[in-house]
Amino acid sequence: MKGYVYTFEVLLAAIMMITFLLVISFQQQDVSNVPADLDETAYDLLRSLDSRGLLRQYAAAGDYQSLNSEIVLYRYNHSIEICDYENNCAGSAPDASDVWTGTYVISGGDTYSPHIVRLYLW
Amino acid sequence: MKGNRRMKGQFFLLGAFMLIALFFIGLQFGKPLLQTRSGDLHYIHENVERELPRALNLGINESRPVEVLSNFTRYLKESLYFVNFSALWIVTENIDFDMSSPYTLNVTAGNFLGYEVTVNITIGTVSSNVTVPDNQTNSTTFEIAVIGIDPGTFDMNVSFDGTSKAMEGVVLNKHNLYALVKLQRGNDFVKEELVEPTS
Repeated sequence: MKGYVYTFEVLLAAIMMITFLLVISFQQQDVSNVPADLDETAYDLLRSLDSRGLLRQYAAAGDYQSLNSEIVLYRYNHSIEICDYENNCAGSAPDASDVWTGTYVISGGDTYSPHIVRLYLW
Repeated sequence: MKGNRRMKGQFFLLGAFMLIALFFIGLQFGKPLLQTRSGDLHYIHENVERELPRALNLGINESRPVEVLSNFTRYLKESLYFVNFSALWIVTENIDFDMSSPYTLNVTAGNFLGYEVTVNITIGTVSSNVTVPDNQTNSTTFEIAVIGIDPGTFDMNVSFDGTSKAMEGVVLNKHNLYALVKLQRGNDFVKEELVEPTS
């Protein structure tokens, strides 16, 4: 009879450990299923435009349409908003739900002229 | 012997309990003191780190480096309203135009931390305290005879509000920027220093 009790206790310990490991592995799967951070994608796109020497000249000119046309992104809609020091903005935020926003601040191009550029993805 | 035999099953149970308990205890100790970078804070910080020296350069081109840098820091504070942005920076500028030793070095501290700060600046053996109210700048000058391995450099130590930074080989004939930038939103917190000579 004692042998059965020992076996039962060992089985119980094993079940506890397996359950514990399963719970942890499911939690990890949940984390990996979180959708990608498109805010960061939007920021990376703006930084890429800056690296290509396009962002500052368009931002200084308030030319949000030309800047937006430089972005090639097939899976999402996108739009650009450029705001100057006085918070006068060219372009606008989309009237949509689930919009991701990348924000890029620049101090200027050839002269000091701070602007904030926002790229909206939805 | 009998006792040991009776404990066989319980030993495995106890072992399982202990392993699980150790895992959760370890999780508690494994938590960093400062939150790790998360969400958008790290790339906002990267953006700020790229633009602050650039703003100083643009200011140098317009012969108003401190004014432009102050203005841009205020702009950052207003634009990045969705995070708690704060910064303190120090700019050094050689104002000895005849370029003969001893040199006169202008050191300006800009405080945008949200409270008044006294900055201790030491260059060589000379030390000076500069008190800077929030959202303002304050300057001091140093007379330095350039010494050291490289004759065109000097060593500077900056300390304020529990932060201390030693900078060796600071280039004399350039504007130099040291900045401490903090971004915070809820429990997420990024605090990093930037040291850069400008063109």
